[in-house]
Amino acid sequence: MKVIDIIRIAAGNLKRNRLRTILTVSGVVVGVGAIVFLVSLGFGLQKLALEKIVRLDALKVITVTPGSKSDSILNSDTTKKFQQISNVETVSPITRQLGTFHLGTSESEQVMYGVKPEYLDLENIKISGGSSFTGKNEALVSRDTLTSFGLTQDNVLDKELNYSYDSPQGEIKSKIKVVGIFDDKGIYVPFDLINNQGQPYSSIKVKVRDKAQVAEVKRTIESFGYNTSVIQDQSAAVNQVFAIINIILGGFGMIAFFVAAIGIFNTMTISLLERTHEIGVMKAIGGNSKDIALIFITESALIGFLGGFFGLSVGWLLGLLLNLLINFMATQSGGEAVTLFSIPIIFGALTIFFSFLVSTIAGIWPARRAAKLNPLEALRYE
Amino acid sequence: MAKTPVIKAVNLSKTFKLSKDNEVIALHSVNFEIYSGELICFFGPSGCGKSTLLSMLAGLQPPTSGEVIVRGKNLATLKKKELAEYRRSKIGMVFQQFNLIISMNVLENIALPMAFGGMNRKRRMQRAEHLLEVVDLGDKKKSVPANLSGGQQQRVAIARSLINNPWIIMADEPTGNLDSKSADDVMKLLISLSRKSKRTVILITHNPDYLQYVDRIFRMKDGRIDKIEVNAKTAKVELVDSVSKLDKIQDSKDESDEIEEKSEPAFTSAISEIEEDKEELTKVKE
Repeated sequence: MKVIDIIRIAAGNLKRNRLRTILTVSGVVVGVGAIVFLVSLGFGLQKLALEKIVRLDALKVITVTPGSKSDSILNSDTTKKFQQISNVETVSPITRQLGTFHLGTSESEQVMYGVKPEYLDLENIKISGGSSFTGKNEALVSRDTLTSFGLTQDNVLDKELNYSYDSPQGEIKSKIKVVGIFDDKGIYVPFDLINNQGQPYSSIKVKVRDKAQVAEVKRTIESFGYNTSVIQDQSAAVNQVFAIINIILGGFGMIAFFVAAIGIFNTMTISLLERTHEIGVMKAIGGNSKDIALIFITESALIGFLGGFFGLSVGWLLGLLLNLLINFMATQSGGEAVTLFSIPIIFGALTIFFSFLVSTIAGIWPARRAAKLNPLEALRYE
Repeated sequence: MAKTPVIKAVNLSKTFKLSKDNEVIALHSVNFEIYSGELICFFGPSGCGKSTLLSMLAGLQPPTSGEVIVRGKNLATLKKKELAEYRRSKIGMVFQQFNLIISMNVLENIALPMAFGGMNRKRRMQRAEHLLEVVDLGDKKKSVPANLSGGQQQRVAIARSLINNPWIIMADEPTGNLDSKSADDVMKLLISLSRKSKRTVILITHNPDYLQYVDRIFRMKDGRIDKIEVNAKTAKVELVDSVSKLDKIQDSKDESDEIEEKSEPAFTSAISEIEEDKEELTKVKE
């Protein structure tokens, strides 16, 4: 018998018992929906955690510091050398200088970092007040520094700071305008402001195109005699924790799904009893046992497929609605909108496949019984 | 030329074991030969073993001992799959209860054995439609069995039995559930299948009215064939008002031959063989 004919007959049988089919499929929808809803919450939280705890971009950045050998200093030649390593996206040098800062009567010793504009992106530094620097004599001041001055953002933004530091050329005194505030430590000034004294760089940030290439680039840089460090990749640990959480959440959903699978089994067994006579007829007019078994299995597989499909849709919609509600409430109270539910495509596809598979398995026993029916006895059965 | 029987029963016995020491012998070592194109009736009271016999001829249950040989092949040697194929395309079954599949419409019912054989839908629906016209139900294509009268359902069942152009039609009390008018229609149809399409028809009935139309009557009693009567009159029996139907059946046969030529070339020779046999049989009778 052709596969399409088996599907046709199976679908016809499902249509014949419309209510029962709908109820059985609903059972699967609830089971699959529960799994999808709960696990997508798990995935959503996992994604959120990964975004918050470890920025994926930060994992692509290698921090290079001078090596122990005297010739392994960092300067513009080193920058050029790093730029030529394959898979390197950005090379951003940093200079570091301890200086004394005056604002009004207050005075404070602060580390100032000469950085290039892209550095803020590399380190994911967010300007929380004002803007990034555009000119040479501008500075970004951290909240920490503000605190040490005993000042607030409004006191210092667009004000000029007097600063001084010792360079190989002697003490340098100048003024700098505060244009922005950021949430970290120290004072950032344009790279060229302190670089022109010809001092070696304190470190270089190297951003690699892809996370997977970090180790290789790191080894290359180390082979030049420099020290390197990368942010410990915590995502593995986070993923591990969420794998467990997802299994637990999925487990709750599995209970509902298991009940649904029993429902399919029940439906198919009753269907078998109802159709015993019909199976006898089919065998008497030349139906193969195999084809008859396949009709049954196809029916339960169809139930599983429909249940999987609609269950996925329901679980997804439920997550979406709940997320909208939560975000609505969060933004009303001044919080940040987040995505709490996330269904990776592969997980969605797997869910449907899983539902299909388990339903098919649930149909095997009734199908085998149907195939084994003695045609004559089945014909007599009313 | 020695005639080869279409179906041959050799010492066919069937015993049902009801419990450990309670056996019922349904059939006692029955022997007979049925030839191509014959219209045979197994006639006898209920419980004489005629249905049991037919089910064994149809390969629906194995005999306790003895053999059923169809065109030289012992059914006991067939594998399960081959047995299904035998039921599907070598014989056509007609039951007392019609046994149509209630969830399928008339055309799908007729085409079902062909679907089991893997024939594509378009082809089998064409043939089913044609057969439906042959049984005079051309206007009921989309009806479901529940909306048909008993006689109509039985005619659909006959159309179904013909779908794969089988050698033998086996009908177990085909008129048992019908009123006399419908019963006559159904019988005429079966008789015309034998007369015009020269198919072998094996009929079970306990209604003596139809005995006049059959070639041979196998009178059964208590699990034995009591007597085999040759009906001398059959050739002369006129079948009124079935002429047009007969022509249609002839058409259907021609068309089905075409189908068979493609799917099963061996069958064409079987047809001519059947026809030869039939001629011979007629000569013998004369």
